[in-house]
Amino acid sequence: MEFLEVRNLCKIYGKGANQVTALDHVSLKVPKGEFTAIIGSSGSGKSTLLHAIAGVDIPTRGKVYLDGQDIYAGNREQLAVFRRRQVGLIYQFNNLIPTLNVVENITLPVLMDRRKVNQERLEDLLEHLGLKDRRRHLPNQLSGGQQQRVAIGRALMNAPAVMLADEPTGSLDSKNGYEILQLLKESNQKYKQTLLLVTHDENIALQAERILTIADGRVVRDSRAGRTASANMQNTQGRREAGV
Amino acid sequence: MNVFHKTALLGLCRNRTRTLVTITGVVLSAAMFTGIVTFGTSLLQYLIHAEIAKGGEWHVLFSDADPAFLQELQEEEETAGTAAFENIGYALLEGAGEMSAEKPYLFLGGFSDEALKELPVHLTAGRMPENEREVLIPDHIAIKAGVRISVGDTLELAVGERRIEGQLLTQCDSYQTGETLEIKETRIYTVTGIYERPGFELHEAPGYTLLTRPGEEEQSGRYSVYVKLYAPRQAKDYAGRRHGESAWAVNENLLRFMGITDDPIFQAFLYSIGGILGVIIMTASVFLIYNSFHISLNERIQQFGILMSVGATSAQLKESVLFEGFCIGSAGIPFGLLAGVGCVKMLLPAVSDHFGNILSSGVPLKLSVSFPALLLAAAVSMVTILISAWIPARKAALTPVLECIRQTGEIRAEEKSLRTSKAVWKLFGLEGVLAMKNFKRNKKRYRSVILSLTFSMVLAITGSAFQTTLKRVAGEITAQAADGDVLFVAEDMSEETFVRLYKQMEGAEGIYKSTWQINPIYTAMTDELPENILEPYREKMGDSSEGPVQQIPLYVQFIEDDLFFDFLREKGLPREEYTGPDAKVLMCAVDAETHTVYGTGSFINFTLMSSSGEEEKEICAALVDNYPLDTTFMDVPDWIFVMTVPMQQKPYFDGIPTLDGKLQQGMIFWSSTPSKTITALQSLLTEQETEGSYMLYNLSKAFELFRNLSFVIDVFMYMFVFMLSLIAVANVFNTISTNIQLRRRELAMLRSVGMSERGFCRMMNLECVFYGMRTLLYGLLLSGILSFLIYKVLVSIEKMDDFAYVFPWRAAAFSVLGVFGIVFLTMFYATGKVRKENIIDALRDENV
Repeated sequence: MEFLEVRNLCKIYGKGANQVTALDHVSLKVPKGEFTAIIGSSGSGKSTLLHAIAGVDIPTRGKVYLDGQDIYAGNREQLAVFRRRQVGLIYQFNNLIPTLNVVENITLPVLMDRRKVNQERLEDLLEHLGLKDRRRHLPNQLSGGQQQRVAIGRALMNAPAVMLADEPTGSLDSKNGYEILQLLKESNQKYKQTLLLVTHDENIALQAERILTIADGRVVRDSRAGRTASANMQNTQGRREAGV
Repeated sequence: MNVFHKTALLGLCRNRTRTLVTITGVVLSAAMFTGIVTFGTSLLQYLIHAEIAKGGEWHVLFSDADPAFLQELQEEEETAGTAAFENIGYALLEGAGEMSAEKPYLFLGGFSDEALKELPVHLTAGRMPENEREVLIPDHIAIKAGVRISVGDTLELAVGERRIEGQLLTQCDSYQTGETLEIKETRIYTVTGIYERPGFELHEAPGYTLLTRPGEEEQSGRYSVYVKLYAPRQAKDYAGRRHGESAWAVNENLLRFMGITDDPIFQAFLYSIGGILGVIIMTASVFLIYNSFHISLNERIQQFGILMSVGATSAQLKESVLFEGFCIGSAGIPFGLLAGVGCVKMLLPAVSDHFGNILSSGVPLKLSVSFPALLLAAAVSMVTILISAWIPARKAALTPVLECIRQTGEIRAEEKSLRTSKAVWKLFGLEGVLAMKNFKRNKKRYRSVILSLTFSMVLAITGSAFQTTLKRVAGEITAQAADGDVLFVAEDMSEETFVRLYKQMEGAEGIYKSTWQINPIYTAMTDELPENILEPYREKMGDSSEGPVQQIPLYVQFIEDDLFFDFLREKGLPREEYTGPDAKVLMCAVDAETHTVYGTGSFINFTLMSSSGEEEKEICAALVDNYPLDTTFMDVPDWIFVMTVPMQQKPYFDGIPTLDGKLQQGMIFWSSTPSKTITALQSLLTEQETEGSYMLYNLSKAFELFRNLSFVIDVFMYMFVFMLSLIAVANVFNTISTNIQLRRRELAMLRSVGMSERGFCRMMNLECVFYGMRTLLYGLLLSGILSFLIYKVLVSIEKMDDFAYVFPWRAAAFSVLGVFGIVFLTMFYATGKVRKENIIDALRDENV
């Protein structure tokens, strides 16, 4: 079994005529340490897939296995602990706690676990994220890019096995977006974390090792970065040769 | 309907729960206002009717009118009616002491049948006079002046006129030093009955009104005229214009309740009580309503921003919010008015009996709805709503458009103000810190929660402190409570009549227990009084006898056998020694001044003597430390020997002459409604043919008055506290649930980074604890101070020492439970909804 495995995942919203199928029997396997990008148009179900893997949006059917464990097998309490320890989730909008300062926001998952904060790691993260002189600031005193970096810091603090990023650069300008992406990639390489990143920006997706394309709640294409490009080229070539 | 009204209405419909809570708040505050106003008007109407029943319906008194002026007054257009009696004259009240220095006269009034129809007279004993030789005396001669005049007594009065410097003085002129009584003639009257102090006699009048009938030929030509006006408001003006030669006075007691008074204290009392109640209700309801508007405004602030960005003016926005307020008011106020009147209607039967006892006028306390008052209640509620709606609307209109759309104002906070101490970390962990930070951030919004909770808490505690202190003070005062509630004492009435009366009277309204006794005073000789009785007795009575032989008056009570033998058993004495011809009797030797009992446990032999000094009967008395029933003797010496004998022994004492030649008998009644019982007994007695004289006393009057007052205060207080608590609950519910709704996203965020259900609950509970603690801090402190002040005031009024302050712990404990109960339940309800929610839905919600 792969490190992360999703089997027949379904998510259905609404009932009757209003019923919407966000995920339609999605199955996939992700090896440990892989950087995977999930792309697709708006409403294709890519965020829903990410949230189901993160344990924040309970699927209608199907299973999610992390390190061989079915994350939805336990009760809500265990699911919360799973989110706290195993997953680092980053949203498009930072979703920080407005009453906590930078350090408190970053260390939140550790504090929830009633563990002692690893000061070395915290300092390392602050340094790395460029937030050293902002440690006592409240979220509303930070710029958008800084807020997103705090969110990344929070996701990284616990050194989770899986990082899940839902359009993390979507609300940022290109310079800030680039920096954030670099941070995620560095973390992925440095800590051997599995990284799943949802985006609709092909340039960002192209930096991933693997790209999953989702349309209408289904994985329609699963390709390794290099091969995808060649496959596309081959396709174009073939069509040209056929005189299309 | 324009687009603004439409969006306002849609907003109301969409947030159904919140709209309902707001409307409930409006209903509550309108109901409370209406309730108080309606209760007030009902009470005022009751007081007016009770006053009319007591003193008659008149507004102006001319105390010295000649027949021509009387006729003029009767024909006056402004006059609705007149009642007049002849001023026969004044006589000095013999035996009146210092207590009656400013009221030294008897005032004789000749009452015609017409006058008696208009001016109420309440007989307490005897019958009405039938001619100019018979007279009724008011009971306050005995109560105030201490002069005892009995039914059947003959009064020889030197009647004349009061004058000062030649000027005639009337009942309107209070007693002045230097005035003289010019005697004109001597008149002889027979007292036929006693009546209650007449309500038409002015408080400051110098003469006790003796009621007789006008004679055919003896016309003094001067009248006291009581005028009822069509426009009572003009009473003073009318009297000033019309008085002519006569002195005059207005019926302050009645006019006061009609709201026409110059009495600054009464006015201040009325307005301050009304004002305080009004302000409290207004404040509480403004909070409630303001809060819900403030909250719904926050929710719609984005919508406002969008509307403003496409060109809506701030005036249009304000108008839209006011429209919303108007809708809520129109929905809530009518229900509030109905509920308020309904509550008072349900409440009145419960309290009317107690009110009836306070004034014992027989006037029922009925619901009286005043439409101007209802209108006022509706107007006040509407104004409250509109003000509450307008304040936040103005605030929204002043907010920059972009800020409205972005909604950045809501979460703006300073790091400094949110800093929490290390102690919170250590004590409560992360959840505690989060709770504390939320509490600090939302301080402003939660202020109304804390304030309204504190409000009801302080009211409940201080109210109960007031009650208990009052009860304790009264308990101290009425510690020496008498046996029974109503006492009937007859002098020289035959035993047959007495027993017949007793059988009739014991069935009167309200009586649940009764007993009777015969109280003769015998003369006794003994040489067996031990030194420890003899010495203090002689010293106390100033008796200079020497040697062991001592003559004493024995105050005897023949009581019902059951009562006697029960008492005997209580004392552990053998029944057989107290029956038969040579039975022993019980005796108690008491220093009546110090209430010290002497010689308990010893046996003394006495000889009962006749007035001529012959020996009549030998008795042996066992001295005990008290006696089973209060005697009915009115004047007791400083030292009293009370002898208690069962009724079955009475035949052995027949024929022994009493000390003063009189025979006194008494009945004691225990009644659940003493005032009503007295009234019933009075009417029963007036129908009876009796010989001798009798008196009825309401022993419980002082105590009962207090008990009823305290009940009325109880009802008012609990009603008020209940209403206010309801408002507080609505307020708390509204604020907390909305606050939780506003923080949905934040709470979802916490859960998405792994906060467990337990941690979440812990955080919310701790938040409750912080609000609760803050409320308790203010509430307990304030109520402690207030209850201490109440205690101080009551104690200083009653001039009591050795009366310790007691903090109202019970009420405080209940309030604490109540506060936490309300907060926790609301939080439980609100978080329950949030907890069940999908995290992602909450995170995506743009509305919060």
